[in-house]
Amino acid sequence: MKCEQVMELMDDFLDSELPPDSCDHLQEHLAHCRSCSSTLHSFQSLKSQAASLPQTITPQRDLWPEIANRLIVADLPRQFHKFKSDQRKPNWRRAVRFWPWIAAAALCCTLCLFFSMRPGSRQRGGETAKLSNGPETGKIVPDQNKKEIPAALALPNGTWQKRVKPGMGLKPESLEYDPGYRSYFYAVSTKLDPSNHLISSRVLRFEPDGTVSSWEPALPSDMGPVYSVYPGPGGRLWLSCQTVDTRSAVFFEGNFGDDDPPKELGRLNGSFISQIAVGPQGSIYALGVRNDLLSSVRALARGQSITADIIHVLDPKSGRLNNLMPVTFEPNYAIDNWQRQLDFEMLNMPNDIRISFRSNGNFILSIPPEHSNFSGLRALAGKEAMEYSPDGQAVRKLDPGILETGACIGNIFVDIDDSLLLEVAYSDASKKPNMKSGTLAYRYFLRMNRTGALSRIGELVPTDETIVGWIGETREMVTRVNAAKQGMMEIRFRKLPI
Amino acid sequence: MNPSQAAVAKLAGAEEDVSDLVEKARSGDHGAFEVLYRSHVGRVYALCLRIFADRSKAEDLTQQIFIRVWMKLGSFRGESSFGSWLFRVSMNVVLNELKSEEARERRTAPAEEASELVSAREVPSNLQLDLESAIAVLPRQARTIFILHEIEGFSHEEIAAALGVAIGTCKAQLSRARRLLREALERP
Repeated sequence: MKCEQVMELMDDFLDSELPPDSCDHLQEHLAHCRSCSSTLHSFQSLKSQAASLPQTITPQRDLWPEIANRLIVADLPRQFHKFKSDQRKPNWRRAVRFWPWIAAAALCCTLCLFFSMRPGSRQRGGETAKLSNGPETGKIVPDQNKKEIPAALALPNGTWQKRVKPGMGLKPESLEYDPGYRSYFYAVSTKLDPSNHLISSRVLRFEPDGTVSSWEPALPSDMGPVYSVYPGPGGRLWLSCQTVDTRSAVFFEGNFGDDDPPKELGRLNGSFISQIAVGPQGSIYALGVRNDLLSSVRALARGQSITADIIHVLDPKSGRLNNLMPVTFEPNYAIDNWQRQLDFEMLNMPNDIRISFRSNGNFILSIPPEHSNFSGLRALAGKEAMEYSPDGQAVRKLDPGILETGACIGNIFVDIDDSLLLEVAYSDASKKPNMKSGTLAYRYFLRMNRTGALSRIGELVPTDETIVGWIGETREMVTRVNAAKQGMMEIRFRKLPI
Repeated sequence: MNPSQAAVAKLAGAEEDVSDLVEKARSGDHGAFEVLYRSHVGRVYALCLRIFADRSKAEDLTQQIFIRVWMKLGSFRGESSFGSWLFRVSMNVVLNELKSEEARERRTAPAEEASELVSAREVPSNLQLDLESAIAVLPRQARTIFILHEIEGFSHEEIAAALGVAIGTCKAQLSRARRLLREALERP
């Protein structure tokens, strides 16, 4: 046997996989070849050294705290499946037991539907509320199972809801909670004609005793719809409007119910403001979409992205503005809806960015998932948010670690102890993520304290509710449910156990 | 005493049976799972660090493995020991990551990895330090096969099946690894 042949067989020999006859030949060669013998010895030494390497190596840092945080998230699928099965499991035995009642109820519904469809039935009922200038009571559909809504300004504990039907084709939108008063909710309701021309634009005020008031601000004639309303300091309301030609955004300040025209604060040409937020000391932050509304809509419909700016209104009196940072909105599924029906609600324009403020004036920004770019089952974007200083400088990234596939951070609320409540929206992996159509499976909340530690709070929140605000004092999440076709809005207060 | 110390004390006492801990962890007890984590993290981390020769990657993968183990606890039937089951899960995660990494074709400069690896470890002797650093600079496939065969004790058949390569390839890569290591260790 030659040295080259020995080298070829060396590995099998080391691994004890060499047939006995080859083994004999090899050992015979090794007995008189010092070079091959030395090579074998070094390989054997290497093998024994490798086998004696330590089986364990301790990480230089403790990985457990991060794992513990991630376990909170990892627990969710189990809870989700339980949640889903609890929600969907029909109780057939019970249904059979009560079938006569069910049949009677169905008959009643049919009769009601029949009579309601007869000509003149709406007028006879006299239940449809009319909204006009000044305070007026809208229609409140009483919640059968809940306690009486107290007249006191403070919101009651527990879960309750109201349904408001403003009538006259007005659809309440963009509900805002008044944190200063802890009593009112404001919504904008806009009525457009079939060509999308503005007929009326009103601000609705919901009060805890169940009344709804409306205010149609006396805006200049070149003004189109009120796009957003936000309770500002001193009980005044901040409005953002757009001009009829949609080429300018205008800020106003006014008192609810005033006949006097609201005061113009500033005007931004070449873009429209889709949302405003009033921070500490009355500073205004706004989301301004570059370009006019129709161009933006057309761009989205063509599959192009559009850009908006987070704007800090430096001086409302002079209308001095400062663009802090650009935000890009990708076209997405909602455009399909728009192509079928020219309905501004379905445009999915960027109007759901929520800016939350810390006590030091820093603001937190996250972009909800419906504005994130995704396709099919790819994980949603937006798994982190940023905290900015009042002048728009990034302070830190708010990253809860790796969320499960399909999950993303939606709204972020600041609690009274300055910790953050991160809304995590979680999609059902078998469906295309779509928060607006309700195919997102559920949401939950993570509390992030100052050190970045996470804890899961509350219960799963159904996805048909849009989260409006968080009331730290009473630990309640305020949500709204829009039933656009009926022009209805429900407001729910969901007490979250901490 | 913080939770980690408590977990270690619990572990040192060794009064709690592993199966009890697994049962508690299965029912959602994070404390019980922490004890299991602390008793097995060294083995898992060693595998990840040796295969990837990258400390931060090894840390991230170790976390992923324990999250995976937590989520799969329900499927652990106790037919094998918890340690071997956990190591099997670890192997699957590591091999999947290797495959994705191969697909991404983003292997970084090996020399830098070696120094990182050496600085990241506590090894008992200079000899082992040399061997560890020499293993770290091996080509990826040769390194993986050497570690699985010579350190973890897997057979060529098992490695070939796990990596989806022929047994011949596996043997050739092991041979290559041995020769490269011998050269590296004998270099003055």
